[in-house]
Amino acid sequence: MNPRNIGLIFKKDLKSYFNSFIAYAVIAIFLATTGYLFFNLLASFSVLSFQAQANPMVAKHYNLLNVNETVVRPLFGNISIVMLLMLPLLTMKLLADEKKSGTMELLLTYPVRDAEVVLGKFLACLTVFAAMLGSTIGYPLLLINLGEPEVLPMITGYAGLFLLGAAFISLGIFTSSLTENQIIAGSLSIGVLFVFWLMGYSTMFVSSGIGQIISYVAINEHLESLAKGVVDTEDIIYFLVFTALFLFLTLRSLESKRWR
Amino acid sequence: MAGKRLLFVLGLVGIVSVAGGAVVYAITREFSVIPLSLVWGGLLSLLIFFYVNFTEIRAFVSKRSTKHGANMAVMITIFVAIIGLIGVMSVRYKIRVDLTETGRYSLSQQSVKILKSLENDVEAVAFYRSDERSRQAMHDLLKEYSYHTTRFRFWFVDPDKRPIEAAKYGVTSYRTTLIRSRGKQEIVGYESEEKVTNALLRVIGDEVKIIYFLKGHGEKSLQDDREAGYKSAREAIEKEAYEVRELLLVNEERVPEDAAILVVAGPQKDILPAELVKIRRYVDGGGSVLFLLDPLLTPEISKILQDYGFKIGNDIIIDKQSKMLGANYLTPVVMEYNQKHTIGRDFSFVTFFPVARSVAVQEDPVRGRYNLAETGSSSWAKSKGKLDEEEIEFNPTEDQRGPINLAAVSVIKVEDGENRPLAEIDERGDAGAPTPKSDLEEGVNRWGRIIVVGDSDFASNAYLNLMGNMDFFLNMIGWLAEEAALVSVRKKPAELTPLTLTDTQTNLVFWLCVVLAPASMLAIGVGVVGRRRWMS
Repeated sequence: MNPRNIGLIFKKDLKSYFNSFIAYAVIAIFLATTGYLFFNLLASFSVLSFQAQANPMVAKHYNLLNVNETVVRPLFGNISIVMLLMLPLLTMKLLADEKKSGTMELLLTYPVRDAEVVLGKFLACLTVFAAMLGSTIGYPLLLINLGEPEVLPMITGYAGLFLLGAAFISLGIFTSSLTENQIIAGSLSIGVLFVFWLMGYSTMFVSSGIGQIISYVAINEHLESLAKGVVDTEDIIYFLVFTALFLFLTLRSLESKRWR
Repeated sequence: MAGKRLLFVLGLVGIVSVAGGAVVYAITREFSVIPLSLVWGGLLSLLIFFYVNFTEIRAFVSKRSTKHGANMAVMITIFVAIIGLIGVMSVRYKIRVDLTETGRYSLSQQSVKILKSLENDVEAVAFYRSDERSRQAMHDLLKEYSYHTTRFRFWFVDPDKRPIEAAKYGVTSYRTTLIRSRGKQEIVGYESEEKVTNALLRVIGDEVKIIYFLKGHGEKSLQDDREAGYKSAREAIEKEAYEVRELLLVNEERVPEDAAILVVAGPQKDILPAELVKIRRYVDGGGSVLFLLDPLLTPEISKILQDYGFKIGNDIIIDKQSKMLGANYLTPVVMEYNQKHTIGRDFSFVTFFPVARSVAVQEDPVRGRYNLAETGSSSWAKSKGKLDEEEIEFNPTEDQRGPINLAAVSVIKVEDGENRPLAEIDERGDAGAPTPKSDLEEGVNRWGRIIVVGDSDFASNAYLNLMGNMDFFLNMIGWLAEEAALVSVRKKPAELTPLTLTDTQTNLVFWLCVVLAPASMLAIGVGVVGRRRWMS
């Protein structure tokens, strides 16, 4: 693998995001949605704090009067759902579009390897996502300014969201490699992500062993501990492995184009 | 050509038929005639299909793309297997760091030790409404437990959405968690590591606790199914997974070692001094005794109990209010319980004590002495004169004005080993703990415990099922038998960091997050794209 080639693909794709209106529009909409969710959480926490002054026992009992517990942690959960709905929109065009416009053949006949193409595109999309996530930095800053949150759990939460985003993107690239229709690629990606998301709920209907496997595979379970400030190698490895698996499957899917 | 099409249909029919059989099986969960014949029929037609088309199939298999496909399938399988292995390893061997300031997502070492030593599967069923605020806390807590062992599994049930499940486990209130293992179960009332760990210990404990009922002095009989008998009480106790035995102490050298509780239920004659010595020795060595003493009897026992701080009144409690609740004036009604003690905390049922005497202690948290239950203010304790329903009135010179206390508790420190301050235990209301048996219970002490109730009839067949009587009785039994404070965990709760916004601040947050930030992002976009258009 040649890093220069990866860099070339990366640049080309990043440009196509930022020179067109796509990246800005997606980030703006992402900001508006998560901003509203943040505002909501913060405003209701403010009301709760106010009520707790009248009846401190209630809040203390439920562990609720902690900014991290009641604002930061659910905020990460909310952002992750917005991500689930928006990231497929970023990834769906990555390979499907190349196929549709016929540039895929060109790309495949360039002296670049499949792996370089996939990695370059993946990194480009990851960068857009990082910009998206980075633009929400105002929320923790506001919190630090207005209240007294713990900082470390916020950092782990952001790290969790980043890893989660990488996993989403890798799956999105994979579905994008399966079809030349962007809509199909996008909705397939959302559908599969939802399956991974909702899996956790079915653990109670199956036997203990299968239940453990399912709750391991379910993707949102792994964000949970990072969102509350607990770093667990299991979760980090899960996200990395998830990402690696779908990048690998993307490569196989591209490869199959050559002999099918 | 027609033959070929027929063959194609045959293959298709084969696949559909096998798949259909599988689906029918998946739905009905049994291999009855229909799925069986579907699968067999399908396999048969597939066989014919393959046999007839053998040349074509061989050509297909040896095609380049098929080989590539198979190759790819093998590669993917290997890759997935490796990833699966990594996943398994990452669950088995992992590092976990809790970065919260108070370490609120970490279990204490004691709990972890217990979890690591689990030999049987333990499951926790938590009954919470989906929207219950405390649900998250319980989920976090149980998740911590399942982190440390594969033997601990938990799930949540919403009693509103799945009432059958709640009924199956006999759960009637929200915010209840059952810890279950090998047919035993314990109830945890709220989200505390201490409660869960202690429940866990009780569930995995092998021994069945034995409760001895003293006999030989006209005590209430465990076999008696008449009104005054204790058959219902025995059944209720056995239902809680205790074993109940009778004890003729005269014949024994001492109270048996395996006694979790000794119950003295309404003796009609006084207990012999030699027996009292044995009971004292038992309590002083960390035993638990429940005395249910009816009025005007057993002065010797009362005298001994004075040494433990109890004041047993030589009187009868009169309660005129009880008439309104359908009882007679000799049946005092209790509605006030001591909130400072586990037994009375959160207990809100009405209890009836037919023909009761007063029992009280000088309250002293350091020595674990609490009054437990008191009658209403319209009652009084009468120690002289005749009981005549028509004329009975409060006599300020002789009688003691209510509220009258009729149940009390005291704990007795066992004089050996190091002790930790009682006040600390009492603050949480679970004073008293027998026998540290292993190193799990570091720094824990042994306490003898005594509860005295000025009545034995409240737990008799006639009254046990009345209002809160049974609950109160079982609460006392449970507390006495409890290896409470086996493990005492003091978890630091999350810090209180309230945050109140002024109106201006609220508006500022709204404008910044919902309007200005997205708008400026759009503006940048317009700028960049517009500039490119302009330049080109």
